[in-house]
Amino acid sequence: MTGFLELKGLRKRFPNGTLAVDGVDLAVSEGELVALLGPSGCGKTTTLRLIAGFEDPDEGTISLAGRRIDMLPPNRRDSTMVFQGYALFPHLSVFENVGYGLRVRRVGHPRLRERVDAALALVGLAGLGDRRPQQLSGGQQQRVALARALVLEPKLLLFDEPLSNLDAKLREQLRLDLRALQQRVGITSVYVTHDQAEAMTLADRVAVMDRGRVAQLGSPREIYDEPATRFVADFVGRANFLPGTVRGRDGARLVVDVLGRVRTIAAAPGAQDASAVEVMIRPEAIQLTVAGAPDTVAARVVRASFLGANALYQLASDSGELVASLPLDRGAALPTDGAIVGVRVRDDAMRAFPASGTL
Amino acid sequence: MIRAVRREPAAAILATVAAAVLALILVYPLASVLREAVVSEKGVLDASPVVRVLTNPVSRQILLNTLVMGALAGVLGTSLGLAFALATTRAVRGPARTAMHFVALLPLIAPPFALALSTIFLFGRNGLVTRQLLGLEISPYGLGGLLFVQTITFFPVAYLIFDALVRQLDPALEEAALDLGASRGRILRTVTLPLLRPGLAGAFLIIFVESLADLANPLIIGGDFNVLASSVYLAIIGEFDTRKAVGFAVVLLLPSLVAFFAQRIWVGEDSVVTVTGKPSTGRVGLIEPALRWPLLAITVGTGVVVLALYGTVVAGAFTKLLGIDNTVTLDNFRFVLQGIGTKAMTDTTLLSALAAPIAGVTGLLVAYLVVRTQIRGRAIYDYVLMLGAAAPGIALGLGLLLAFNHPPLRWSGATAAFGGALVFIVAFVVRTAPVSLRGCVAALLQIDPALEHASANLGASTPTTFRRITLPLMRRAVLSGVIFSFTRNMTTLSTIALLVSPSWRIMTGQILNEIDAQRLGSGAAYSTILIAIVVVAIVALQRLFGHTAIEVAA
Repeated sequence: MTGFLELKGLRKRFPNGTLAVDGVDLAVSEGELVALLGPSGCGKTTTLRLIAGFEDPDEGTISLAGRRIDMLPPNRRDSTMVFQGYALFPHLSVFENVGYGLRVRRVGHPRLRERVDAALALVGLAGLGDRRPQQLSGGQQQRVALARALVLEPKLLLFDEPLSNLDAKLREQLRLDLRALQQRVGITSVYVTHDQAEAMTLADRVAVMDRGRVAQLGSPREIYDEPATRFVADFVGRANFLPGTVRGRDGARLVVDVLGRVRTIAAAPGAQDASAVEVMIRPEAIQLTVAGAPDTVAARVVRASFLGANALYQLASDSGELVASLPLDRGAALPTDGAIVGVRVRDDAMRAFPASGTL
Repeated sequence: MIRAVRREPAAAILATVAAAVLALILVYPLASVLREAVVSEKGVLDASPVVRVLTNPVSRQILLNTLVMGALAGVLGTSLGLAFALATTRAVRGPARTAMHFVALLPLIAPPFALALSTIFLFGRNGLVTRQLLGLEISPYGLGGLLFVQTITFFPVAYLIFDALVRQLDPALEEAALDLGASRGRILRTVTLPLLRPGLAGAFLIIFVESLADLANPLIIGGDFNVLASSVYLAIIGEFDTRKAVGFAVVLLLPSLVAFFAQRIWVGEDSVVTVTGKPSTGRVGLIEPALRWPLLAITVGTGVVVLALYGTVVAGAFTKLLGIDNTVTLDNFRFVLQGIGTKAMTDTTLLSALAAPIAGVTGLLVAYLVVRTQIRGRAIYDYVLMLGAAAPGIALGLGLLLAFNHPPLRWSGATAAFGGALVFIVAFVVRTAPVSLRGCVAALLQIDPALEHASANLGASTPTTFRRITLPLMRRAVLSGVIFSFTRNMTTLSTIALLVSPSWRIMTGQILNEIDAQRLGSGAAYSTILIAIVVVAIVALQRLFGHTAIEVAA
C-alpha cells in the first residue's frame, strides 16, 4: 500500500537511551486525516516531530507526495504544524503571525493581505488581525494557530494535541469545527492526541500507538469493535477481561469456555494458537436481568452508580469482576448494592486475546 | 553530528568564530599570565614568582589580608543585602518600598572610588563628621574603612539576589505555616529564611569574588592594609616588575575562580535570574514589630549613609577642600575640564559606547550557541566566557597587557591600531560580556523552543528565525546587557588600571591620579561628571529603546 505520506521503518532513540519510536510504518492517503492515539510516552509526538523535521530519525524514511523528505531541514518540508501550546509569536500581531510564513516566502503585500484575511475568515477570526495573541481567548488562539498553518496551503497539516489546553466543553465544539474545516479544505493531516473521543470524532483512521509502535491502524469502528491487541482494547474505551479456556477452533473463530458456558467467539491475531485466552467484553455489551433467567450467570452488585445518561454497575461473578454500563430508564430504580442479578452477554460481543504471558 | 552540522551550518560557523575569538581575547591573555608565572625569561620552567608569594612572610600576610577582607565583606554584604530584601518586601509597602529599592541600587552605578572618596571626606583624618563634628582623631585607612566601603559598594548584589528569591516564594507556603498556627517570627525563622538559603551561599561567594577583585578601594582607603589586587598594581606601576606582578595575580586568580565557579555549581544555573512562579502578593507579608523596627533602623540608616556618601561626592566637587575649606567653587571642574579631563570624558565615553554593544552581542551569540544549538562542547563556551567575570579585573588587565605587548598581537598591529584603543575595547568586552551572557541565557531558557520550531515549520531558515523571532523576544535581555556594559565600562578601574595608552585617557585612571596627587576636589569633580554621564546614558537608552527597569544596572 502506498500513501501520500509514507513512514517506513521509522526509529528514533533519544540520547538518554529512550527508544521513543521503534519501527513505525504508516501510510496516509491524500486528503485523509489520521490520528495518532496513545498514552503519554507511546511515541506519537516524536513521530509527529520526525515528520515535521524537528527530530532526525535514526532509521527509516519519510516521504510526502512521492518525494523523500527525511533529509530536508524542517523549513524545507511542505508541512505545517498546529502546536500544542499554539506557539504564537508573542511580539507579533495576529495578522503578522498568520502572515509570517508568507513573508518568509516573500509573498508581495496585496497578495499577502488577501491570503491572511481569507485564512482568518476561514477560522472565524475576521477583523481580529490587529490584536496581540495574548489578548485572545484560548479558543481564539487555537484558531490563529490553525489559520497560520492553513494559509500556506501545505501538502500536509500536522496537529500536536491542539485542543489539550482548552476546557472540555470548548474542546468538543472545536473538535467538530476542525473536522468540518479539514474536510472542506481537504488537506492531508496527521493528528496527535491522547483523547480517544477526539481521535474518533476527527479521524478517518486511527493509529493506536503503544511503546513506539503502531499497535493498530483502522477506522474508529474497527479499533473499537475489533481491537488487534489487548492494549488497544483496553486503551480505546473501557473493557472487561475474563479468563477463558480454549476448547477448539471454528475457522478463524475460537471455541472458548467463558462466563458460564462454551461459546464461539472472534479471536484477535495471535489468539488462534493460544490455549488460554482473555476474553474482552465491553461494559455496554452486558445485559442485566433477573437472577436465574435463561443463559445468564449470577453476579452480585458491588456498587451501582447513577451517571445521568446511564448507570455504571460494578459486578462480582464467579468468572471475575465486571463493569457494566447501561442506559437507565427515567425513574427506574437502581438495584441495591449486594443484590444478585443475572448477567447475559452475546457471543458476538466477545473477543479473545492471548492470555498475558503467552504472547 | 555530521547531520547536525549540515542542518545547522550557521551554528557551526558561529561556533568556530566564537571559539577563535574567545581563545584570543580570554584564554590567551590569562594563559599569558600563567606562562609568565612559571616560565622564566630564559625560557626555562621556573615558578619562583608564585613560590615567593606563598613563602615570603610579607606576601603571605597580603594573601591572608585578602582572604580575610573577602570573607568579612562577604558576610557583611550578604547580611545587609538580606536585611534590605526583608525590609523592602516585608516591612514596608508602596512608595517607601520603591524609594528603598532605589537607594539600595544606587551604589551599583557609583564609580568604585566615589564612595571611598566621600568616606575620606566624611570620616577621614580631617573628616567632616569625625573631626569637625565629633572632634575625633580616627583614621578610616585600613581594614575597617575598607570593609565599610566594600560593604556599601557590594551589598546591592546580595539585595538583588534576595529580593528576587523573596518575591519568588510561593505565598501559600507562609500562609500554610500561619494556618498551622506558627507566629510570624516563627515563620520567618522556619519557613522564609530556610527557603532563602541558596541565596546566602550565592551572595556570599559573589561578594567574596568582587571584594578580592576590588582595586580602587584598597588603593585609596586600604592604607597599610595591602591586598593581592593592589599588590599586582603596585608591582607594575611602582616597580615595573612583571614577574612579581604575575606571582600575585596567579595567587589571586585561584581563590577567585574557585569561589566563582563554586557559586555557579552550588547555586545552580541562573536560579537567581529566572523569575518563575507567581509573584508574592505579600498577604502574610508584614512581620512582627519586634523584628520590623531593628530591620528598618538598619536599612534606613544604611540608606542615609548611601545618600550622604553620594551627596558628599557632589559637595566635594563643588567646594575647595571639603572639611577644611568649604568655600563653594567651580575650580575643581575648571581644573578637570581645562586639563586632561575633557579628553578623558570623550575618550572613555566613546570607548565604553563602542564596547557595550559588542559585549551585549557577544553574550547573546554565546548564549544562543549554548542554549539552542547542538554543537559539541557548547557548555565550554559558557565557562570560558564566564572567566571574564570570574577572573579579577587586575589579573585580566595584566593578561591583556602581556598579550598585547608580545607577539603575535604586537606584530599584527592590533596593539598599535587606533592609538591602542583595541586593548581597552577588548578589556571592556571581556569584563562585561559575561553579564550579557547570563541575562541572555535566562531569557533564552524562557523562550519556548516551540516558537522557533513554529518559525522553521513555516519555512524560515535558522538565521531568519533568529532575526525575526528569537532576537525580538530577547530584546530586553540584550539591551540590559548593553546598558550594564556601558555603565561598568565607564566606572571600572581594575581591568584598565594597567593599560596605558598615549592616545587614550580613561576617566577612572585619571581619578586615581588625582587622588594619588591629593587633589581630592578634582577627584570628586571627575566622579561627579562620571556619575552624571552614566545616569544620563541609562535614562537616554531607556527612552530610546523602551522601558527597561533600572534593575538592569545589576
